[in-house]
Amino acid sequence: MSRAAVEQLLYLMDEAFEGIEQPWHSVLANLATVREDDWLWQPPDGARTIRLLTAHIGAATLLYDDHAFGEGTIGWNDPAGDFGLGMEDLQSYEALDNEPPMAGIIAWTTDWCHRFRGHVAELDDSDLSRLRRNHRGDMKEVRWFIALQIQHYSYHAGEINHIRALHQRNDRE
Amino acid sequence: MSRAIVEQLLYLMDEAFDAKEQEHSLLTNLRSVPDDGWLWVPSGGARSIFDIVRHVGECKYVYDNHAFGDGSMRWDRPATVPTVVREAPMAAVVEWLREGEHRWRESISELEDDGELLRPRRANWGRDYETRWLVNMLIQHDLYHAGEINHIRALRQQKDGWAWETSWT
Repeated sequence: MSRAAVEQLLYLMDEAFEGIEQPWHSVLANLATVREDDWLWQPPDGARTIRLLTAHIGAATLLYDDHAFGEGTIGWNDPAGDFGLGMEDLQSYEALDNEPPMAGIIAWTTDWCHRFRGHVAELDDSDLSRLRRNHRGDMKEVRWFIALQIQHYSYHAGEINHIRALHQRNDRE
Repeated sequence: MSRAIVEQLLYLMDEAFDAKEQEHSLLTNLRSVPDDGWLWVPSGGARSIFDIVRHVGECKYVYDNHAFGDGSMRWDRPATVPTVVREAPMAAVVEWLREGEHRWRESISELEDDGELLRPRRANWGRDYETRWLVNMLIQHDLYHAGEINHIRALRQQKDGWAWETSWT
């Protein structure tokens, strides 16, 4: 029973979310330089905020965790776990009156990424080709869910960085 | 002798660079860039989509040259790094980018077994890293900058909504 492929995916996932060896492009490294006044800022002609993207990362991870490892029943219109908010509400363009502050949403997103990671860590390589139904009803291998999470983290980290850089006026590579 | 992990990394590299069925890959995001968005810089910003693509492309050539080649490409040595000029057509720049990816991918695909991924190879700043570290770096790099490109395009087109919101104007 091999776990070499699982370990490789965990490495990539850790780097994309936390950036343990390579912090530059990870979600948490890019959130670390976000200030309170960046959190809800919308660029000219823009709509999405860093708050929205951060909550989206958490909500998508919750959704994929449920479909890859859980009952596979959660959709975008359901409550976001025990957070007290809806999945769709969390991804609204405007902040909600009853939502937690920046640190609370980052902590919630981090918690879901850790839960997803924990489920991946329980696998062996043969589990990666197991078929699960995604939220669109398509059957996908478990490795597909994991690959998508890795892509999702880095992609939205780039978007977060760009919004922050525009607001702080220090846009650079 | 197994190549299962090498193949897995090639799959992830391909998904990051050019996955036609998912929205996060680099080329997927470049395909939706309009001509007037290529050199445009948003308010408060410093980089255009061209600037980002040039950066991503140069890194592919340079990383490959230092990890698998003679290490001659250096940004502090003029004319050693393959690059593109701002005046070049977008299609030509994308072809140059594809060639950089092709070189890097060829080097990874020629690794004979998974143990090669733990073998130290050089980065352009002179330090050695496990090969998998370098592969991971460029996977993240494609996706991260794809996100930045998407954001610039969205601002230019005033379409910074979610892709599934067809009513967005």
